[in-house]
Amino acid sequence: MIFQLSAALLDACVLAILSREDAYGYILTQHVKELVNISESTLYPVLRRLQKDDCLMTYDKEFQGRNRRYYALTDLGKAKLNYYLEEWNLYKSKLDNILLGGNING
Amino acid sequence: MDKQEYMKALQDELRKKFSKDECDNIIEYYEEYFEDAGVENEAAVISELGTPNELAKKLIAGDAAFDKQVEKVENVEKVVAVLENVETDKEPEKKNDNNMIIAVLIAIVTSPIWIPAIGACIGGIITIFSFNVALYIATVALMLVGIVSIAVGIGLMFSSVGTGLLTMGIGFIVLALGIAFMLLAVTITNLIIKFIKWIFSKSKKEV
Repeated sequence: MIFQLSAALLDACVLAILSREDAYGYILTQHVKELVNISESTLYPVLRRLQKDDCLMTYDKEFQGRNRRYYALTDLGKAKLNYYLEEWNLYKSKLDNILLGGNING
Repeated sequence: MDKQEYMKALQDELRKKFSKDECDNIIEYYEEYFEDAGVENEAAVISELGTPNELAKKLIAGDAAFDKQVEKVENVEKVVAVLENVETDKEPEKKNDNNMIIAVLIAIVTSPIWIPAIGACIGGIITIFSFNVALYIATVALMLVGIVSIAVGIGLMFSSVGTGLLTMGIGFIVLALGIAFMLLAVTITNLIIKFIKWIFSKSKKEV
């Protein structure tokens, strides 16, 4: 993918992935990597920030005798995701208009 | 470098910039990460993460970027408020209702000012009207007295010219005064009429 993912879009992606199901760090990173070529070191700050913003919460689950920390959306996180989706739709249609031609006035 | 060494080196770097709690969180995250990746992927993970030094720098930078984000967070509450208002049509109606309510409240609160003010205006208007009417009455009275005096004066002329002339004279003066009052009363009436017309024309313009 040659287009850069902005911080906001990256947030949106993480929120969207978590909206489908809760996930722990490693598997979440794998999901995001399917979409975007990011490095592991990029994701932790995103998760930390979303957590500080109360968009995510964490809980621990035991797995094979050790701990696994899961990340889940809060209500605020869902609201923020909806907000991002609205913004994305606007952005997408504007871009489509320009890139695909058609009525410049929308 | 194996995972143990890597994590130790990372921790040392992180302790320089992060609190103990933050450090522990980050270390725990990457410990889990290594474990979920599986022992077989240990080397691959290390190469993807970069050196402990590089990783620490990225994490510190990511945390610094957070401070810039903080301003944006404040918008989220507004966003949530908007999103919880399911139909966006509700917003304009609510604004109109709110304006109405505010207007009524302001009217009630300032009523001690505008109610007496209106009362004073009405009082003033009544005074002017009454004064005008009084002037007319005075005019009529004066003219009556004047005419009567003249008539009496003419009558007196037959018995005493001097007294008759005096009485007639007074009569004419009073009559003249009556006429003067009449002119004043009429002028005031015209002014009142002009004023009323002016008010009507203004209110028509506003409509």
